[in-house]
Amino acid sequence: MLRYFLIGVYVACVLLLSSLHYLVAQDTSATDELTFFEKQVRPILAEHCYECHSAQAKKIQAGLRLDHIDLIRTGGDSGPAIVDRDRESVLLQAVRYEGFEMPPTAKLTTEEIAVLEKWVDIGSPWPKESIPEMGTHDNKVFDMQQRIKDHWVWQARMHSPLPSTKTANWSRSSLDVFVLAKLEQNQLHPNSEADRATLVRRLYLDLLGLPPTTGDLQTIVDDDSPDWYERLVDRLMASPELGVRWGRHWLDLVRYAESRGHEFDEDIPAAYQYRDYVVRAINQDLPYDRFVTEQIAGDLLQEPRLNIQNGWNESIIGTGFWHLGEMVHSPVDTRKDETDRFDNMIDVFSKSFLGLTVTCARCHDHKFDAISTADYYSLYGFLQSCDFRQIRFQTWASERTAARELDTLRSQHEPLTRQNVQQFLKQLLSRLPENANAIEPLQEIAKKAFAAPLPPEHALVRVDYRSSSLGQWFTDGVAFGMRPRQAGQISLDCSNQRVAVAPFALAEFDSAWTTMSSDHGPKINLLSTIPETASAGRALITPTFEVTSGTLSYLIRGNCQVFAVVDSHRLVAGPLHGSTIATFGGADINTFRWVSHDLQRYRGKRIHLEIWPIENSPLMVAQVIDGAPPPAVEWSVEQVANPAKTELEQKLELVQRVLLDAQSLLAGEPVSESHRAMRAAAATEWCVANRDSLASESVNALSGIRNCLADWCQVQKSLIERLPNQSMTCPGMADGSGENDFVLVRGNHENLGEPAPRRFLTAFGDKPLPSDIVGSGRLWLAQQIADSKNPQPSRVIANRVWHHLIGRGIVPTVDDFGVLGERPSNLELLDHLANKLIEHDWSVKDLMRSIVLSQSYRQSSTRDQDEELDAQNIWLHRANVKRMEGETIRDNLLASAGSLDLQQGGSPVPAYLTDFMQGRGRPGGSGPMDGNGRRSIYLAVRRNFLSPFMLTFDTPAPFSAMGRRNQSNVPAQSLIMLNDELVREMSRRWAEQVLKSPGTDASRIDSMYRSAFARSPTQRELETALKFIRSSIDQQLSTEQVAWMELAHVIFTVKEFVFYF
Amino acid sequence: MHCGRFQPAPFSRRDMLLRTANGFGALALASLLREKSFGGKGAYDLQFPQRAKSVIFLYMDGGPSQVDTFDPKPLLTKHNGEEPGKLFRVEPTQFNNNGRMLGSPWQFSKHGESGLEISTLFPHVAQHADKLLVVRSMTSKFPEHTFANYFLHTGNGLQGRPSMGSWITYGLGSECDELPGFVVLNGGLIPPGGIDCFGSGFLPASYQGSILRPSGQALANVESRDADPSFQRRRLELLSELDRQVIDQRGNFDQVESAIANYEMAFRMQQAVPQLTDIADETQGTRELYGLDVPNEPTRIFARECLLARRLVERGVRFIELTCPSVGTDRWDQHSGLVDGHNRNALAVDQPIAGLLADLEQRGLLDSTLVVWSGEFGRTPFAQGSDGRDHNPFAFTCWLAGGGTRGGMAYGESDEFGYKVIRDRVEMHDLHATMLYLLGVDHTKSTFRWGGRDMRLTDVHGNIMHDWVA
Repeated sequence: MLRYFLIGVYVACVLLLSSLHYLVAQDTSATDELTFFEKQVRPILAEHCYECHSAQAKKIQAGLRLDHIDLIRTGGDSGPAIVDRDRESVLLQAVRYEGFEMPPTAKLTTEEIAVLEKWVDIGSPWPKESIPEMGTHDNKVFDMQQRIKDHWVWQARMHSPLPSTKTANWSRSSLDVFVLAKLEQNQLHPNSEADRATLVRRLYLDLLGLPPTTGDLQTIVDDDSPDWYERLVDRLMASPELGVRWGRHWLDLVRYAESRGHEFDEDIPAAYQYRDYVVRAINQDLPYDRFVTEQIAGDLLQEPRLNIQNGWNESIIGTGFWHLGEMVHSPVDTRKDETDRFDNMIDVFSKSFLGLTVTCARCHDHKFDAISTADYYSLYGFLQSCDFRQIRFQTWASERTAARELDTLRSQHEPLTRQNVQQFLKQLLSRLPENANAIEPLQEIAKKAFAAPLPPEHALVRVDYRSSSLGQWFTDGVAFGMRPRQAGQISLDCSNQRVAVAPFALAEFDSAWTTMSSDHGPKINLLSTIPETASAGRALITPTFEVTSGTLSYLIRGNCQVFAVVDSHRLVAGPLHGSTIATFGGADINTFRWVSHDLQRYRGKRIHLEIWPIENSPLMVAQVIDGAPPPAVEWSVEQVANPAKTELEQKLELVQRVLLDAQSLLAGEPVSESHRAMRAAAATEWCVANRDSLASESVNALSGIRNCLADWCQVQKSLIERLPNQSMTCPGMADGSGENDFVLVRGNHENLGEPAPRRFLTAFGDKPLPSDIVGSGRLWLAQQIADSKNPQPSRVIANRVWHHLIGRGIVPTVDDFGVLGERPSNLELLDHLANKLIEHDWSVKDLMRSIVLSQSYRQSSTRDQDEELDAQNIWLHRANVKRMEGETIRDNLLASAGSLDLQQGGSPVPAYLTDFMQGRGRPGGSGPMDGNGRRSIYLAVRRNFLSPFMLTFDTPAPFSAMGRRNQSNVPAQSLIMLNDELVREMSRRWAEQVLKSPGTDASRIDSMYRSAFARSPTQRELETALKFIRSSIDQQLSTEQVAWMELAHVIFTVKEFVFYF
Repeated sequence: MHCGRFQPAPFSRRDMLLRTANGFGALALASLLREKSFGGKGAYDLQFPQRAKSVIFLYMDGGPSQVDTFDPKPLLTKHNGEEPGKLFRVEPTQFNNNGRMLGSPWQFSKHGESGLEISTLFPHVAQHADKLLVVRSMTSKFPEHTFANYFLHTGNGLQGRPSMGSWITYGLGSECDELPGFVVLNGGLIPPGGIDCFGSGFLPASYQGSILRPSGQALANVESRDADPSFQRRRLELLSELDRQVIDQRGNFDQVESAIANYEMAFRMQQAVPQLTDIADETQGTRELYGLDVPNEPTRIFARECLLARRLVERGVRFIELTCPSVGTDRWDQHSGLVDGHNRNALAVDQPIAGLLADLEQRGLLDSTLVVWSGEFGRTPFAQGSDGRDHNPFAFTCWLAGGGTRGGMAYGESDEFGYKVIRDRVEMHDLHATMLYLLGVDHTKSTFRWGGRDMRLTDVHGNIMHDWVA
């Protein structure tokens, strides 16, 4: 106690002394200094700074005020503006235009800057005065709890009882009752049921996006059973075309494209695998919670969903959703680029799954919703901890099975082999003096200099497989096995008849996988210098670490490429960032060496490495250090020379020592110095390789080795023959070490604020990432979202389905349920649908079925007197008239013309390029004008060369989630329908078909109407069309062929073709 | 000056409808008059006097060098060949291949009464020095083409935002019914970033830039594929009859009626676009003024673009952007071969631009037409390699003319080498805010709600440059 007291007195004295010194100094010159301040400093501040940085400011910029010294010292977003007497104070840097450039409109004069520097030099004197009070400008406080309370989105879903209604005999299901109740509340009446032809076309177009064939139509018309409608719905729900139609809806959300946009419109190789995944998932009615989980973290599922037919890992393909956005080559500032990419990923993620605009909180807390900037940046960590890969999804499961088998084989055969080698060395050692063949070469090995690892305690060791835990073991695929090799372990390369010995624990590429090959499908425009398919499934991934010195050195054996992933920038093409890829080839595969990688540009960055063998080179990776390679360790450091001994005796002693080390190494006893371990391993390898010439005296041990190796090779070979070698790849996500990001003040990536540890949005309950999670924690994040207690995802998807089937969402702003979005017109109904969805095991098909079976859906679209009360049809007093999307229009054109090919999946049909589609990255050749008759979803989506046809009909440009398309009305649409070559060609083919089939003119017109509108023409329509055909031919205006083509073309332009009722 | 002077089409769909169909014709016409696809009022009320009615944006693709065109730097010449790092702090560049200080290979001299200094790259434009407001303190936030192009065009560095032409036609509407309000005359080069530079983003598709080629078929699908125009007429007659029967069965729906009216518009465009591009009625004097017949082909292409721009202004089109022709080397993006590349690019645009300024003036259109000349950024005062210049977003020059701006003035200042702005810094948002101001619109009030935010061309930024206004 006394001791603390004394220390306290001492500290107080020191403080007193130093402040006395200050007081004295101030006493002598205080007045002068304050005069200097008032005359010279304050005017500069007032004139150039106070508009934005004082109580007078309309809005304080960067949280910084310069109208009181206390506030200046406290500073703003970028920390203290002035540190006393420090010329590197932020304020001074800013006025010197170093980093910040303040004032922004004009640099201060050199004299003015000098004044401010002098002021700081003398301790920034300021007179005693109170802090000026702020004007009454708005400074709304962000109150998370209040906002959660105020907005419906954050509240649990309601389980409302069925409301009572007056209209009898109308409702078919509970959802009808909710609709009816709202209609009645608003003095509206439900409409009568639409006629059969209208319903049939509506169902086909809504569910499949295709018209009924005339055959289908006949069957339905002929079906006089009371449940014809239900049976039709069942048939349509089971059609594989449903997935195509609804898959396209989903692709709108995930800004699906097959190229990267930006300057050169690079490929996203194999993006189409994601598209096919979505179509399959919908057709299989994958439960929606699972669908969400797979896309966020399908790579992390303990038991991924395997395709029943071919064993592919379906779940992992879902993670492609993260990576369908734009990508930039050669960004000058990779971190800025990364934050833009993350922002887009979070934007798509939060709008798609949660119906929330989380990215509004990038620069400041959300202006309206209960989402803070800290919430937003807490999501960055999830992305910071993982990265893009081309994933071998086809062989994913079988590779892992095979890898486990290889591992089992190894555990059976390796110890025995090692024992035999040990035995062999023991015998060799015991008769060493007589074995002249061995001494010379072995002492040569022993005298060699060894590129040895640094001790693990060395501060700049970034990765060390000698000491890393399994939690730090990350690989892309299984080619580096399940774990690091341990010291003394033998590995076997059967095809080259070679064994290798690990001198210490390290990562080793398993030679069993040398026949692996990957393919991402057709290449259109691939400039990236990252050979994604060369590394797919066969790379070693290091944990993330900081590059301090600007040079990394790797201790490797074999030939490899190393990709240093900086700020997740992977589109390495163009002038910058080529140095992130290093190639280390052409070396002696028998020795370890240090190689170095120049990363000067990336000093201070946190990066991870991806390392893979060049072609099939053997590869061992032991250590990564930050700095130049350490010098090799030479044998001379070991003092074995004893002058009393002869040279031969000295050699012998050295070799004996080496072989003793080798025995220890093989026995699993640590060899303390790493260069001795390396020498022992090298000697062992040499002895095994030259066993026959050394073996005269040790026949037993030799045959032991021989048999062991032969056995091991035999079983391994039979396994290797069965290995799944060839796989297509898909873009997806893979985990690395867990990383958190920081709040970036005002969205400025150069302005780091507080750390932002990973967690889920606060408004959904304060949920930090559990501390025992290794890696990114994305699976945990997915679970928070797919949790049925989370009120949002079930609402959001139910509302999307409703939007597409009914034509208007219950929440019309389908991607934004926030305060700025529109309120639900019928929250009880929305929650009812969401609850039902969850009760039905998240079956989206059940939800769709329940909606189309409802009476609400079956209403006619005819307008009646209710129109005045509900012009926007908010309460659903009738069915909405819908306009087909661009894809549906095109599919219907093809269907009518008999040119539709319903083949599903596969690489996209190359984009058809008109002369108007120019620019960098233009594909080398144009695709077919008719897209080979494939449905529109299978046409290539190149960001910079989007189909003008689709764009004109409002297919969204893929940049963010777009759950509700615009519905514009522009002349370009009519110009397309009037003059586009596709429309003309389909008219021609349709006419050809029509003329081929037997029948009268009237029956032909009838079949055309049924094909285009799913109904027969009225008498008047028939007569009008007949007159057109006949007069064309009679007046010799055109041939029969042309007349029918003209009629076909007109039918395509009749509004009923693109609208359905 | 606007549509009033426009020759009526020899056969108008509107006439035909009135003649042929009783109820239906009236109906279609009614909806046509009610909802104009192109023409009509904009979303915003004018908050300021409308000085400019149309904008012609001369987009100098690739980033012309400010120190070789409109921003003379004698000190740069003095320090030619020196190490830039010894003179100032050098920021990271895109190609990271920085060479020595590179004085301008071109001579500057004073022009007009104002004495604005302009280099020998622009001898024709220099004759109009007193019309130019040269902004020497422009900045961008991005040193890469694509980001910078999106930023220049949309006020945001990312893909998918509405272009300023879309914002302006959305906000102000257009005074022409027959043509889109936002037209891009494509000289051949599409900017890095692609046609999304002219996209309408989240605004309705009607406001996206329509890309017109200065020769050949100007607009996709604007030409009928029929050998004989009577075929289309017959089809349209049948169509109107069948559409009418659909409405008889289904009743009237606004969206269906609008779609019918839309065909009217399309039909009129089929006439209006060829009339626009048929320049046979221009005098020989005009042809010479623009350089339509000079030997250099890129100049001829750009001359045609400039002439069409004037014709579009006459027709009341709101926003016209011109892109550069290919000159055989690169766009204004001289990472190497500065002298040859800039010479060729300047040769292509100099005379046509001067012709445009003169022509607008003599027709009394310059006061109501804002002409903006700008690249997406400038170039470094030090060399890239030995004879190129890298991208420089820290200071570059753009100029404005007409539309209520002050001529014969240089605004702002870059440092003694033209590397960074030292006085009256102008950001892209300020340029946009001022363009809107000259059009009579308050940029802070011109919003569109999307994705939970009230979006603006100027985001949350932008200051009106009152000093620029005459």
